[in-house]
This record gives sequence, C-alpha cells and structure tokens, in this order.
Amino acid sequence: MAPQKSVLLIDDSKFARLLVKAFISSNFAGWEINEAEDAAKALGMVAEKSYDYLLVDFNMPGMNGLELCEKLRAQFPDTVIALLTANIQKEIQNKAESIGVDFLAKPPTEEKIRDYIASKEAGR
Amino acid sequence: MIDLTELEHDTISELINIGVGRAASSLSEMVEQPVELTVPRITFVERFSDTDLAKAPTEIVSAVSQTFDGPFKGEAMLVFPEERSLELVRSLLKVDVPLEALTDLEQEALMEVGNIILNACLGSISNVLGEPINCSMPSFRKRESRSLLDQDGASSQTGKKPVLMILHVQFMLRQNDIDGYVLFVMDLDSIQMLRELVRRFLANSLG
Repeated sequence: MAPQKSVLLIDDSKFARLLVKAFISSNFAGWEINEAEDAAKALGMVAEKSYDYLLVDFNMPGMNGLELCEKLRAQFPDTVIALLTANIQKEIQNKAESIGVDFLAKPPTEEKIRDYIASKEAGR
Repeated sequence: MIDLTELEHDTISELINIGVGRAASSLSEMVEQPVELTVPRITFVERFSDTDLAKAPTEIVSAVSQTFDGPFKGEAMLVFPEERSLELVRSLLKVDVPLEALTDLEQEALMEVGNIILNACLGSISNVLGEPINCSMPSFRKRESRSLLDQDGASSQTGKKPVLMILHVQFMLRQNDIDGYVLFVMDLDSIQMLRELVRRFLANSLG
C-alpha cells in the first residue's frame, strides 16, 4: 500500500477547498487533507506539522499567495508547492517559476488535480 | 461620446473576446458542458439605466464583482438571474451536498466562479497588452438589475459626470438553461488609457 501523504489547501474560498479536497480524497485514499483560509493560519499550521503538498491560492485577504509561497519555499525546500489560482497573468506565472513553485490554473478539475499529484508522486 | 476608430473598436472587442473566450473555457471545464458566447458589444453611457441591460429593471440578479487597477481601472462583473444561481451551483459541484448545505455554499460558490471567470478575462487582456492588472478580492451582490452599479467607485469618485464603457458579453449554458453576462465598466480616463494601449499594441503588431 502506498504511503499516506498529507496536503494543506490554502484558499480563502471554502468552495474551492471543498472541491479540491473531494478530488484528492477520491483519488488518493487515506491522505490527510487539511485546510487554511489565509496565509497567517497556514503559517501556523506548517509550524506545527510538515506537509508533503502545499496548494496555495493567489488572491487572498492579507498576504497574497506568492508572498506566502516564497516563505514556504524558503522553509520547506523539498515540499511540493503549487500556486493554484485563477490569476493566469504571465507575470504571476513567471514569479511562481522564479521562486520554484508550480503553477496550476483554476478551475480545479478532478483530472487536473489527480494528474498533477500523480506526476509528482511518480517522480519521487 | 468617445471617438474610437473602427480598428480600435474592433481591437477592444477582440481583446474582450479573447478574455471571455478563456473565461468560457474555464466555465465549461467546471460545468462539463459547452458554454456559448455572444459577440462582445461595446456601449458608452452616462448611466447604467441607459443601457438595454436594464430592460427588466426589477429583475433580481446575482453579481460577482472585482475591481481592477493597473494602467486602466474599473470594475468587472459576472451577472446572472438569481433564480438560476442555485442551478449553476448544482452544476458546479462534483460532490453530493444536501440542499441546505447547497444554499449555504451558494454565495461561496458563485464568488469562486466569478473569481475564475473575471480573472480569466482580465488575465488574458493583461497578457495580450503586456500590462499587469491587479484584481481585488471578489465581492457578491444580489439586487435589482437597475441598482447593479450603485456604489460604483468609478461614478462616485469623480465630481464630474462619469462616462461608462460597458463591454457586454452574454454566455449560455443550454443544458441547464442558464444565461448570464459579463460587464466591464470603466470611466473616461481609463477608457482613454485603454485606447492608448490599444493604439500601441496595434502599432507594434502592424509594424
């Protein structure tokens, strides 16, 4: 049996978290999926527990997703971090690449989330 | 009111077309059905009630709005009739949710749809023009269509009479009998700046 992994979803939209959580749960049984609605809460959670995957929205109240990703990348060089955002501007994509995080364009679909995580798992 | 050349008019329409096309593709992915779009229409008005969008002024509509700021600024809105909004949410959810929870989720879901649609529009326009655009957090309003633009920052900030550029595109989800529209509202200064950027874009593109 594949080892259970942990995911932290950071998005101010409860709806977005609900969808992504459902997509991961139905494809990766038994994985632990936690949620944070903003950067401050996320930073508190990663201080308490280490995660295998951090999926981060861009447009959130307070610190935005890129600023958060920069902090997370500095703290967790080996964790898979992806910016999952509706903001498809090239500038945002380039910034994500420059700080070493993946870019996933919303909307989150089951295929998109499943294939992304499966590709990361295959590469481990 | 605003003197756009035919080419500038066509270019702005095409920019919106590209943006809304990207947005429709996102919506189509979410609801797993085709989304049909009308040809974008640009109108200049002094009051929202001057548009033919206010034909049913007392109809209650749900709207997700995001202000945007950059070389030009304004407000982008995704609008659809209130009576269809739960239907849209049901189409979006891929998990079974009891009706009570569905109602609770309605606003959250519509805000996220608006966020995705409006960012797809603005992001595409930004990418084509090569100019970053900052988007605010989405906000939700449910009101009569005639009051849709009340508290519109663009019209209240300036002492003079504002000019609004309304860019209107209708979208349709035939399987669910849902239709709505996307609006971009900008004041005169922003319209002039957009026109300038379009001129530069055309100059670069046409050599």
